[in-house]
Amino acid sequence: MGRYLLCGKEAEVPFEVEELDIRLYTIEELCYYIYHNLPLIGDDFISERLLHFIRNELEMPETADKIERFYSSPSDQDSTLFMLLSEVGYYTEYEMQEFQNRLVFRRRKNGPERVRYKADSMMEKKRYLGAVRYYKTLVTGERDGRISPQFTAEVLESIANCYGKLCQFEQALEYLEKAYDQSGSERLLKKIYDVTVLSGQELPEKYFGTCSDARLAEWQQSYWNREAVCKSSLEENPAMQMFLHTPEVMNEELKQYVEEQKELYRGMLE
Amino acid sequence: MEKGLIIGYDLCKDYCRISWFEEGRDEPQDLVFSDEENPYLVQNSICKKKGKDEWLIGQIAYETALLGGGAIVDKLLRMVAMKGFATFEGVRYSAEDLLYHFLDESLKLLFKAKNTTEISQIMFTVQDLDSVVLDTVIRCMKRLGIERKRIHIISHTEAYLFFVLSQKRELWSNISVLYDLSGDGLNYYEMEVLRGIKPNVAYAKRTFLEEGFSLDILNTPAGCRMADSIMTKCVERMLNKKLISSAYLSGNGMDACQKWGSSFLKVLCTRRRVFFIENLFAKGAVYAAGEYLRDTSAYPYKIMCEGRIDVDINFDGYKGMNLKTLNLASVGSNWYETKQSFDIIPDQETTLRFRVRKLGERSPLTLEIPLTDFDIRKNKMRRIGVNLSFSSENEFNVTLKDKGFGEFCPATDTVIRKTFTIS
Repeated sequence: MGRYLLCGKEAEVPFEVEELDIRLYTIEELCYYIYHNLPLIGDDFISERLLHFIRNELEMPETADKIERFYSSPSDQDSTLFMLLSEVGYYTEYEMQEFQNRLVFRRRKNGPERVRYKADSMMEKKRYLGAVRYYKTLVTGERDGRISPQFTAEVLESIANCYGKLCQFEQALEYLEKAYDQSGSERLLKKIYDVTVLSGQELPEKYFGTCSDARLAEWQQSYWNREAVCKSSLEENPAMQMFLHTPEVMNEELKQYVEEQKELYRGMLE
Repeated sequence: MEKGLIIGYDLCKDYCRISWFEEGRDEPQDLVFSDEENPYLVQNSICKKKGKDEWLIGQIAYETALLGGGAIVDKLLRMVAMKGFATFEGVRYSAEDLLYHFLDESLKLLFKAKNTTEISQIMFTVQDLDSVVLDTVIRCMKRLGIERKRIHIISHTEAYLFFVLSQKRELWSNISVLYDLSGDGLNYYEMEVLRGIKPNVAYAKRTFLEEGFSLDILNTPAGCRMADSIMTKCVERMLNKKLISSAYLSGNGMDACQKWGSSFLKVLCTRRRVFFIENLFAKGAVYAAGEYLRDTSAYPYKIMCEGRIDVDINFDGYKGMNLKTLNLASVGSNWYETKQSFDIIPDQETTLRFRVRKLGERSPLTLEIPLTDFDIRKNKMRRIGVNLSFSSENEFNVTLKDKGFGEFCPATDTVIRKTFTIS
């Protein structure tokens, strides 16, 4: 059975979330952000700034006081977030149970795993450079004893994936090679092959000198197959339909499309 | 008590009257406009002086126009209702502009008499609650620099009810009646307190009487006799077998009723207490305005009359984990001032439901608005702005506006509007 949620006040000055470059105007949006972006929520999320937003902008001093009472150190963060979401009632009991499970899942992760969890989440949201920043903290500087070579290789591959999404193939290749050096996985070698061909470079002797011709031919065929699939899917892309319209309509739609893509790209770089 | 005047402003179709409450006096005082035959009223006419930015109202406006000193517009309220215009010296003035100047000039007379310009509360009273007129009056008063919270409007019926309730209890222990005779016709008002309902209901109603006659007939002896006969029959027919505690007479037609209505007054005054009250509606408006200055009402009754709602409208929603009922309108509240705005988020809901319960009825009626005009979106990703307002005591309008869900889901321009008639 359905229900209606009675909303609170809309803030005049929003709460800015730097990780996603978005602004939150209501307590319901804040709950939504917490629920769907748990990996992005760092230890400093419950702050004076957040309390000021809840107390003064949303005019919910009782909730702000309750958070203050609940929260004394970052170890109280999970219970405080749970309390906040329960208090607002935006989520049903069933959804809150699921949120509780995700809090437990997050709590079980050690330091480096939590950073990777956050970076993965940013990558999922297409914030590629932001994700790279977090990934790099795991593979540069002093080596953390809790990080295995396998973990490092996966992180390096993720960095390469981010650069690949940004079409920065040189950096992508650099990190793929580093990942391959760590793990020696054939899957990574094939990926190096794909990126090298895609960027129109020569295959590095260091990695492909010992590869048999049959294997290289197989990889080439696989590359062509995927290229063909991409081309056909491009034709089916709704964006391509714009070119079927009259020039006036097409111009308008193209303008809008370019603006959207620009905004998306700006987000990727943040 | 707050500083400033408490004003009752009777805005009729053809004339207006002003009363105000003065500290230390038991009853509201009436503003004397002139030393004419009826000094307590001023015609709703306005004249712009030729070549000057000066405005004149009432009798002096007519005189100035007759002498060629300016152009005149009369029956101002009718013009406002029709959203009319008038052109003076090549400049077009809207009815609202003219009403603004009229209100300004009429209040200046009061301010001059009282040596103050401060208004604590001003209550307008009009015969028909036409939303065009009401909105215009409010806008004009705001233009005059009066805060919205100090401006109120009620019907003549309600002003009469407040007037009677402010008299000695013995005058309204049973039914109280009023005959108001003016250029607009003859109106009969009846008021009583219904004690069988908790809380007690103070109920008043107005009836327009077809027997009404033009005031011009009072200029001839034959016309006076006819008017007397009409009124006598009217009283005999309407008050027969009714337990009347008090009867009132008002309106410029009743000014000289002792001259033309001897039979009618004889019938009316038999075993009844009868009063002729100048500015009855304006005085009632003053009493009603005083209510806004009290923490607890001086009238512990539900008010039921023209201009008051006779339904409760509720909406159920969740605040946190608790079910909460929002009371959007309650029995006895003024329809014009009943406006509600709130935001909701539907959770697995496709229809908005209001519970409407009429006074005296046990089970509420459910009124629904389907949300199908909104685009399909993920659950709980739409904040809807709900606005509820009345266009009369029997009709309310609901507007639903898609406000989106912050930057996660932008708002659309979709608005759903629905009008409900309460039968």
